[in-house]
Amino acid sequence: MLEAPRPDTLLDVRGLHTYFYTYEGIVRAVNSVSYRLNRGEITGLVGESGSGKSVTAQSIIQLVKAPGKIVSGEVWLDGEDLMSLSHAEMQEVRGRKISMIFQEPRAALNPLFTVGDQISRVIQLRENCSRNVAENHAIEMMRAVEIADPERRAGAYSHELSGGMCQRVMVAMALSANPLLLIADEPTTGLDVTVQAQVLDLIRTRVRSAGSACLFITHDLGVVAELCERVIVMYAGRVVEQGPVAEIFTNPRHPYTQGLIASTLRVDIDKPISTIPGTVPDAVHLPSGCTFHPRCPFAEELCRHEEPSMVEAGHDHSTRCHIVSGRIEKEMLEEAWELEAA
Amino acid sequence: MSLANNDSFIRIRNLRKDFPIRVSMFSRVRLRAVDDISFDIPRGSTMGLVGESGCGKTTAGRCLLRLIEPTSGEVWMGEQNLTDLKSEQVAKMRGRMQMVFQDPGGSLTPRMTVGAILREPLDLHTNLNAHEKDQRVRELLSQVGLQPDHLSRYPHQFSGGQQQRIGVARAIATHPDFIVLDEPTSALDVSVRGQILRLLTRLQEELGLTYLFISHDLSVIKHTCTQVAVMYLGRIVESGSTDEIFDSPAHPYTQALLSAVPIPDPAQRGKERLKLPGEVPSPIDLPPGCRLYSRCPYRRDACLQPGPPLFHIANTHSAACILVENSDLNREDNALSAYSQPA
Repeated sequence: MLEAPRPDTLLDVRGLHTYFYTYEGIVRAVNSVSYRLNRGEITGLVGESGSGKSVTAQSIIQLVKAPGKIVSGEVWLDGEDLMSLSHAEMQEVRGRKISMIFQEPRAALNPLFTVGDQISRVIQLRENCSRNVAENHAIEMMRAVEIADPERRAGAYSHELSGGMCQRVMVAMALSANPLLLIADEPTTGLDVTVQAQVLDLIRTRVRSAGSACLFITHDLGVVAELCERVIVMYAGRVVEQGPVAEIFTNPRHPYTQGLIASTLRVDIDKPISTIPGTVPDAVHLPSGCTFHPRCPFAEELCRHEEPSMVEAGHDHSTRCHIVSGRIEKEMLEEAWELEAA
Repeated sequence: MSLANNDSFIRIRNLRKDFPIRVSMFSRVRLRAVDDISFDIPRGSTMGLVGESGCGKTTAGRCLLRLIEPTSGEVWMGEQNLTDLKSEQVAKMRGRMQMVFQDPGGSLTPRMTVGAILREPLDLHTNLNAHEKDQRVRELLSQVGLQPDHLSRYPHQFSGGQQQRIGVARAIATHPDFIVLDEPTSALDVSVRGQILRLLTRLQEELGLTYLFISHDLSVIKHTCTQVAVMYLGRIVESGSTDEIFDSPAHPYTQALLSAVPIPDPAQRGKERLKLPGEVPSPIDLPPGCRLYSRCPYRRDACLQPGPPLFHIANTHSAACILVENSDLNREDNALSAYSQPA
């Protein structure tokens, strides 16, 4: 039996495995992933393309597309194991308890209905209210996400609105169901920076005021630093490091996290361009041992053979590295990433 | 125009590009994508052209190479006025000016092997014999950090970063002098982006290349360019050396753009920012005044007058804002009061 989760834990993901069965072989897109999300907190899920961050989110709402399959794992939301629910029950959870915001808002909206219709439909389903009431509520929601002139904009179709405006509509729609959990999958990636700043503000204030939890998927460490309380770093289907945002940025322990931070360019600081050598490994033929070892400047023999397990690296901070666990005695020097520059 | 400045290899003068937009069967309106822009790029340096989507930076880059025809204005490369040339003469010049595209996969022909892709520009622009071409292709591969056995592979067999290396190899195949880099790293992962940026810098040093680097990403511009021009709705609103733009931005748009970039340091969270309300307005039939008027916190009636031109600030630094001319010292206070009440 499971231990009682902490009272502020809303989502508890345990040992999640999602595999894709392709002609080339099995892709372990999500490999033994475990984490918790707390109420009222925004958690950033960071990784490069192919690291499994989007599939992790799809697994939570059980919308993994074939040939993908959730192989094992538990997903506890507010004391309920989502994996044990029937298809119909899960459908209820998706509408009422979990909402999702996608990367391309225009593709996620139905082009044949006005945006006001789409938001009020969500409200009608949840509240079982009349169409009139729902429409008024929808306009209120649009006002809450700072859409100017919501009465007129409610009658617009998605193609008549800009990308930033469509994303506001998505946020309004996702939050109109008052979800316990909001999953945002790269919601600002296609937007301009000045508009991105507006949408991030909006997500921050709405999540805070609703007391829900938010899983914010992104590849942009700048956005994480600005928005999130906690960070989960994924690499090749595994969580390699997680902890509070200040810890991860000031005291990153996994070499991949260190490399990621070192290679992030900043507008406020001049520094040489560092990079992580090599490329993200082929998902079908993952390297043996620690999947990061071919790109790691600190890798030793042990890293090639044995996969490290998650170890404590500080208060509420854990990572997956033989050096941190003490199996290998070695110092991780920051210069290693700079040397790579030569 | 005479050679006023010997250092300037690329000189753009009053470049303009209009697109006709059909609004109904009989009426057309004009969309001015690039509105009277001028700048110089010294030989061997990198000019950054930065702005948000729809500001005309890609259109400007394509006009420079005459991939699309500019409506008016002049583009000089060395002592050659490219806008004077007939199209067959431009085709001959293409070997000297090349482009690297944003989408590395989409800009490579999927049915051609890497060897064939790299040989094509050599067939078009050089008189090398078959053996010399083979040699050149191998040399190109090693210059961009790929292996000789990659020659017979197809683009889809490579990762995004490797595909962009192929795109770069194709661009330098004919020994060009000038390359337009159109968002060369925005489709790439963070850890790979640095590799491509460093490759571009190394090739520039080795081959003496002149770059126009088009990007919406200010952090990339800061780390690769010597000079920067900021565009908004078809116009250059500010230009100067990279240090001038990033350390003392003068135009409200540049200030807002810089302050909107998320900083990867949680300690800096919650710092005071200059935020622009709303979004970029439609570029069709714009009023004559300052393009930023509808979003600018410092706006005043004088901003609706035609213009403003670029006002000189220091050395190479200039900005198109009447407040720069008047050097209004109380702007900080104005900004905060303009935003104290929510929209």
